[in-house]
Formats: sequence, structure tokens, C-alpha cells
Amino acid sequence: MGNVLEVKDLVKRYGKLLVLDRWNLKVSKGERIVLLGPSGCGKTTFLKIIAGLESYDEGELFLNFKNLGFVFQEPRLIPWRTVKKNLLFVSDDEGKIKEVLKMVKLVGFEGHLPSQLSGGMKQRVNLARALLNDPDLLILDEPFSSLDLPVKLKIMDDIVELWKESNFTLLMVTHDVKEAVYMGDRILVLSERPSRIIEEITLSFHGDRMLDERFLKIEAQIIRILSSL
Amino acid sequence: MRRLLSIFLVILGLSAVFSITLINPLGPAVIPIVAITEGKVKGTVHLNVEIWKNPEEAIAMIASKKADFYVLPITVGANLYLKGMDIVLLGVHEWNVFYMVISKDETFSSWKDLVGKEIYTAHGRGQTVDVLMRYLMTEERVVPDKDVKILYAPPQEIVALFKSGKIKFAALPEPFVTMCVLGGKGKIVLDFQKVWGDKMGISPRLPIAGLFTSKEFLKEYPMVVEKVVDLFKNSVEWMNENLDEALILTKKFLNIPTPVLKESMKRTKFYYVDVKDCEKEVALFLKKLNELYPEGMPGVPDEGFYAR
Amino acid sequence: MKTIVGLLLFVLVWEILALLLGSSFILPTPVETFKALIHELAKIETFHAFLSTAWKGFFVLGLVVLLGTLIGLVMGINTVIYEILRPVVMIVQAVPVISWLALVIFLWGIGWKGPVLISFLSLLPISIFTTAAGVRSIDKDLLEIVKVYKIPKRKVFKDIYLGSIVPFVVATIDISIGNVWKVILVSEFLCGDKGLGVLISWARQYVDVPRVYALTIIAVAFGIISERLTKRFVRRLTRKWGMS
Repeated sequence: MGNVLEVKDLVKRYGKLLVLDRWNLKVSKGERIVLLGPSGCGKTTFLKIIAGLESYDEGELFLNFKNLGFVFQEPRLIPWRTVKKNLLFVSDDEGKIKEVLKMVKLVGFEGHLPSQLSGGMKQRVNLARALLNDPDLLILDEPFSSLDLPVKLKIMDDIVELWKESNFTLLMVTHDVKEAVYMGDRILVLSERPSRIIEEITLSFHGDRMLDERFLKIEAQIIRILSSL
Repeated sequence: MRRLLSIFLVILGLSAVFSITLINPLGPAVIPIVAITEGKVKGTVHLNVEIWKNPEEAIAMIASKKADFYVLPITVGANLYLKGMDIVLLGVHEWNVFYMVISKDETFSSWKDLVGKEIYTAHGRGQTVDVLMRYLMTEERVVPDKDVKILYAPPQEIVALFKSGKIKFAALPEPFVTMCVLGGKGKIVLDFQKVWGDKMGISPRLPIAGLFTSKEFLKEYPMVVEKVVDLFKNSVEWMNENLDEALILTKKFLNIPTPVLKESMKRTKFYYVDVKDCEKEVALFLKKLNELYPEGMPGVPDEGFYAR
Repeated sequence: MKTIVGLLLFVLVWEILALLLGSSFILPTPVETFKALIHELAKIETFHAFLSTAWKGFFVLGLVVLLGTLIGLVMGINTVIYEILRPVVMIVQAVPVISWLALVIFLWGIGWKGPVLISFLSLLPISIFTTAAGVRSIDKDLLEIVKVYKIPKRKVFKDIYLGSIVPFVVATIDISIGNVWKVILVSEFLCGDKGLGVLISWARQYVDVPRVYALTIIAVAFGIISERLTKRFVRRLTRKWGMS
């Protein structure tokens, strides 16, 4: 089976509050899925369910991946440990650590403490950490929300490059339309809470999307959908 | 009706003016004045008695002029005088109170027996019995603090420690002395008053506490002072003649069991001696204290301390 | 500059109050107290007493920090232990100094052990609770990482819990250094054989009020200075760890 994950009629409640309203989704290996929706609609909750951090109430969930990498919204580094020690926390493989630092272009910063790094650099350590165990599913939870535009563009580029090399499945969540269109080849638009998947947009073009007209067209289409909610 | 009210108010006012306050410490020293509070002796003045529990309370009442007459330890009175307070000694009424107790398995023939041991005494460095004890030790060439460890604690705690066998030697005032030995755990081996008398070549007694007033009051109302002293004297005499009754009346002030108190009264001597008959003795006592421990008695009060 | 003005104001208010109360037995004037202070500082006895108080204070501080963070750590990590120990610690916290006194005098009579134990028991609970609360509030975010990447318990304990101890130790020291001197002095006053508290109790016996105030000033000054120095020292240490 080429599916990394499958959900059928997935329901999640917090007490009486319905958060996820019967989600149906299949993700195949190597896809770049982006969940796009307003704040509070439950998209982070979905990611947590996939990662095993939350339970669900109804429906079925099939997971078919070996290793998981999770890039959180905030860097979540141990403040009193260096970059290297933060990575050692997750993996003992020093060789791999060197490799991921190269991937995120942070070679030479092993001995730095998080307080000595910029926001963008901390987020890259967050990403490096997620790559340590060669994930076949890389989950990203609004990973760029705290970053400035130039920094954001750079990291998005880096992730897409990494994806091209390693071909992991990418599952990302964001509320930013541009990010969604840049990162995803399948964008799932979500409603407000209780959320459902209301629209699915597939992108077939690659290359430098930012400069492509079709990028703006898709963006406009999505914005129309969102404003009609 | 209005007439009655105004007469009542006048009487109230007058009694406020003529109401005199005497302050007295809590403890066995209550027994000699219980005759006044319970009306067993009467004088021509109305004396209002207040009890003080710690020296600060007494000083506050004196300094704020709430008290006109004060029963205080002689050392405290002397210290206050030296520090400039307007105070004079009228007479001494408490004379014997300090003894040494030891555990029944110990012996005491001289201070040398205490070498390498510890002795507890009440309150703190510089108290009368502390000073005397150190003096006596030094006379026998026993070095206080080095040869014998001297420790200070509240007297009730010393009694508790003694009775439980945790400490073996203590120098205390009555009634704590009796509390230690009743029950057979200990014995009294030294009468500090006797030793003092022997050393100084005087009567075996120590001026412990007495009656004071302010020089100002004495000057303005000498007649009142005379009357109060008479009343006080009578009260002490009444106690000596009616000890059992006095002890019963004291029950409402003290919660020391009556048999303990009665036993302790065998060794506690209360009798009023006018200042003119004991000035020399008191002066000698204070002089010696100053000599032995100037920290505790920074000087020797001059004749202004003694009422004329 | 402002500190000096503040101090002068304090002395002024003191002088006025002393004059109003009118008795040096209740409140001596700043001048009288200052004279007594000079007199005290010149005595070797005062210096010895000061050393005695000082070593007890630092000893208690060390014990409180050590045991407080240890017990607090265990309580913070394990909820069951937390629930069991919490009432015990609360009771200890609520017991007033005076009540420990009878127990302590009975155990050891007069000496240094009494003041040390009393001070220790007075300060330990807050140290335990501060640490426990801190550990319990450890960034849930970090704990989620542990879950996602299935980090072994040994690593979690070493890197997250132990590593996070530092701010709690700092917090404990900050709180305790301010209070330790007061408690030491009171317990010395009640059942000590040496120390500034003992000197204060003797001064009280001789009705030497200026001396009581003078000794108090020495104690207060030392308290403030030691608090500042300790805080500075601790801050410098923690900067090395990447905190604050």
C-alpha cells in the first residue's frame, strides 16, 4: 500500500465540544499535504492525533510509517542545553547529527545555547531534530509563524529541497495561504470549528512557484473559498 | 435625678484622680500582694493592682506613667535608674529565692565537682544567680565557661529537662527549685543567700525584689507614698500570718499547684524592710554585681536611688 | 543618591518618633542607638556572636536548598508522592516557631542544634513547594517532544528535570536568604547558646534597649548585605547555564 495514513470519519471532541467533524483523508507516500484553515479549527489537534499525542473519539485511523519527525510551531529547545546536546537528546547517532546540521546549514553552531540563536536559527534546529531519525513522515505545525518573510522563504526552500532529496511524506498545517500554495501539492481547506474538509485543491506545477502567475491564481481561488465561509 | 448623676460623676472623677496603680510581677511575688487585691487588708488609699509578665511590659507602664508604684527586681530597678529613669527604691521585700539543685545521683561538695560538666541557669548572662555562681566558681579557681559549661534557658524548660534526667545541675529561683526536686529526682545542695552572707560577712539574704516609685511622685505626694508603703507592708505580713489562705487566693493568678507553691515558700522569704534599714546592704550587693559583671550592671547607683 | 536620601528620611522619622514617645526605654534616639552600636562593634564578643549566627544561617540555607530541591523534584515528577507529601509539608509550614521550641529544647537543650533545626523547618516547606510547582509546570511543550520522539526516561530525568533544577534553586535561595536571618535570630533568642540572637536576649535582661536596637541594626545590615552578595553570586553562576 502506498498510503502513509488514512482516516475514515474521524471525530474528535473535547468534552462536549466537537472539534473534528468526520474527516476523511488518504495520504500517499511522498505527497506534500497542507491543511489550511483558520485558527482554532482543530488542525493542530489532527496533527497531534497522527503523532500519538492525542486520542480520537470516533472513526478509523490507519498509520503506515516507520519514523516520524515533528516540527513544532515554536522551536521547543531545551534552554540550558547546547544545539548539539538538544539533538543528542533525541538521537545518539553523532554522525547523523552532523548530517542534519549540514542539511539545515547550521554547521559550526553545535556549541551554541538557544539563547544565542536567532528565531530562524532555532527553528532550523527544530527542523534538524525532526530529521534525525530519517523520518518517512514529516509533520510541520505552522512552523513559520514566528519568522520574518526572508527567513521564512529560505527555510521553505530548504524543506522543499530536502523533500526532493529524501522523498518523505510531508504533512503541514498553516493558516497562511501563500505558505500553503508554496509548500503543498494537495491543499485541503478546512472550515471553522467544528472543522470539516470542505475543499481540496491539487497543484500540479513545480518550479519557482512564487514567481509563477498560476500561484497567484490559485491563491485568489483559495481566498475566495475562505471568505465565503 | 440629675443631682444624683452629677454626684456620681464627681465621685467617679475623684476616684480616677485618686486611683493609684501598683504593678507587680507574675510569679510567686503575687502571693505577698494578694491580700490587697482580695481586700484582706485595707488602707486609706485605693490601690489598683496590675500584673506584668515581662520586663518590657513593666517598663512601658512606668515610662508612660500608667503605674505609680512598681514592684521590680532590684537589679532591674537599679539598671533603669542608671539609664536615667526617674525611680527610687522604697523598700525590699523579697530576700531569699536562689538555690542550686542537682540530680540525685550526683554529689556536690565544692565547685570543683562541676569541672567538665554543664549547669543550667535561668534567663541569661548577668542575672543575679549567674553572676554569683561565676563569682563563687572563680573563688575556687574553677573557670566558668571553660571548666564548667554554663547554659541559659527559660526556667520552665530547665525544670522539664531536669525532671527528664537530661540535665543534672541547675541554679534556679523558687518555685522552680521545688518543681525540680519534688518527686525525688533531685536535691538542693546550695543556698546562694547563705554563701553570699558568708562571703560578705552579713546576713544570709539577697535583696531580690522591692517596691519602687518615682522621685516625682514621692516629692508631690509623700503622704500617699507613706500610706501605700503601709498597705504594702501589711499585705506582706498578712501573707506570712495566713499563708494557706493566701495560697488559695493566689490560685486565680498562678497555675502552679498549691502544694508545690507551699513547699517553695519554705525557702522563699518575703518580709518588708524599709530602704533606710537596708540601703547599705543593697548598695553592697549592686557594687559587687558591677564589679563582677559590668555588662549587666554598668555602674553603681548613687544615693539618689534610695528614697529618703 | 536616592538610597542615601531614603536612609536619611528613615533616621529623621525615627528621631521624631523617639522624641514623641519620650522614653529611651521604648524607642531610643538614633544618636543613642548609634553610640550603642559603636560600643557593640568594638567588642570581640559581638564579633564571635556574629560569626556564630552567620555560620548557622549559611548552613541552614545550604540544607534547605539541598533538601528542598531534592524533595520538591521528586514531588514534582511523581503526582502520587506529591499528593501524599503535600499535607505533611503544609502542616510543617503552618507550625509556628514557638511550637518547635518546646520540642527542640527537650531534644537538645540549649545549643546550636535547636536554632538550626527550627530555622530549617521554617524554611524547608517553601523551598519544597517552589521546586515542586516549578517542576510540575515544566514546559508542557518540552514534555510533548519527549512523547513524540519517545525519549527514554533516563534521558528525560537527566536533561529536562535535573537540568531545569537551576531556576528553582535560584528561586529558593532568593526567598530563603531573605528570611533565614530573622528565623535564626528568633530561635537563637529562644534557645541558642551563642549568636546575635542570644546577645539580644541578654540585652533585654539588662533592660539595655539601645543595645537591643544596636544589635538589631548589625543583624539587619548583615542580612541585607548577605542577601545582595548571594543573589549576585547566584546570578553569575546561572548565567553560565544559559538561564535568565
